Amino acid sequence: MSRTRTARRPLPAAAGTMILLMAATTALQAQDRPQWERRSAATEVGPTVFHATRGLNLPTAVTAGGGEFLFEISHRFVPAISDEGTFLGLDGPVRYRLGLAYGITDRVMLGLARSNLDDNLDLEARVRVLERGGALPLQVALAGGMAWNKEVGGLEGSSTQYHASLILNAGLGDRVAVGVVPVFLSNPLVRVDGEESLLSVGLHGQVYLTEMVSLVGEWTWTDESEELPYDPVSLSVELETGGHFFRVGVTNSVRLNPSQHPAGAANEFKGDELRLAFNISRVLAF
Amino acid sequence: MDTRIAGVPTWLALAAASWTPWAAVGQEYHVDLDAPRRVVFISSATLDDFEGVTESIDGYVLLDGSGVREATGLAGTEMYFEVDLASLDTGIGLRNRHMRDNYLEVEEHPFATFSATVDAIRGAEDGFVVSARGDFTVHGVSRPLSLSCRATPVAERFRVRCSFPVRLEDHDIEIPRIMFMKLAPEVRLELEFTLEPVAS
Repeated sequence: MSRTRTARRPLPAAAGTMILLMAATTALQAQDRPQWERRSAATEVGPTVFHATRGLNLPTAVTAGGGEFLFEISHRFVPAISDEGTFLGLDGPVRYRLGLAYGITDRVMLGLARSNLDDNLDLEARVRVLERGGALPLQVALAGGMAWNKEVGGLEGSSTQYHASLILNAGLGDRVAVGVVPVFLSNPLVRVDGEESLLSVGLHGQVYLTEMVSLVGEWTWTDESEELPYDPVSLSVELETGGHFFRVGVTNSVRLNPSQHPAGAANEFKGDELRLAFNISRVLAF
Repeated sequence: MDTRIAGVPTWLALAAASWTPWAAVGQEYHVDLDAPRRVVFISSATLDDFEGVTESIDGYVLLDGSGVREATGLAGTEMYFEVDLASLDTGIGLRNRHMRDNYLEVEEHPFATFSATVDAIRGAEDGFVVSARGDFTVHGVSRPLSLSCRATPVAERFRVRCSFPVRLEDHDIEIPRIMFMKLAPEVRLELEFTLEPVAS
């Protein structure tokens, strides 16, 4: 039986509508992509400049995290490394500092530290007030506090001291951090009458050689005095292990607390005057 | 015989009647940001055990129109989750920085992600076990990952719990070997969150 090819008839209007509807819903299915969209941006973290809350002596704009305690013990050996019979000065005597700081928030830290030099008890608050990332990361902090000296023989004046610092830190690339720390200190020499106040400027830099090892250099320009005629200088190596820090180095100063260090050093920073120094700080999180 | 319904051939009318496009549209679930969320990585190293915790997980699961039910050989399913790594808290602020900068490098790789398809959904005592296969990406390096998560119904929602190990070297995450082994070569990730259905 032969078939006769006939002309194609147009679709009825209703059929056309249904096909269009099916096509439309098919298109909708093809667009059936998730409605989900990211609802919050990645957490922004502050810039990294210095890693620790201080170098060998000079403070940084870093503070302990909110709710964290930071324990510190530091030693400065009084005999010079070159002094005979003192085992590089380690036989002592020694000036030490015991400190405990607490992060009230991630930006505010309160610390209490005792140095056995003059039985100096220092209470200090530090607030990081500004930080900026980018090519030249910056952090700025303010610090201030007061100290009481309980063992100062023959003291006629006040044993109380006040200090205030502006801490300016900047990062130079990923591996170098530098800082400037102008310090105002009242009653810098508690054993000497007439020394009302001084202004010193600390300069420090740190080179992060690896993720654990870095080199630290510090120099504090200060007013000369008869008792402390030299600027404190130090060079040290820092080891960082997950938020804990160990520093060992050489310095010409054995004055450890914020109300002591800016006043100057009794010895010159040169070969036969250098003293061994070390700091250990450890975060205590409960 | 050319029967017609309302002027339309019967076969076409039946086809149209059986066409249920809305039932075929996928059922989508999002992470409920108002419900508790918790992502933990657990590192058990020789000298230093520690955890990193965050609640910053988000993402979705897209199933077919039948939603969550026992099934295998599922087709057209998707899931995607991401964790904001910069929000991880190890309990020590100074260590967080160390971890972010030195290990995870979150500035370049802010999220860990899992992008997968659902293989099977099986019944379990407290709900379902959902098996998925896909890519887990962290530190910018993707690796295939198959995992099973438990999904417990809570009204229309599902409380989801997952746990799986991650070898850090598989994702080019450096492990310090000087002085202290602070980070274990393999960490365990534990995730817990709630999925809520999203209206189509």
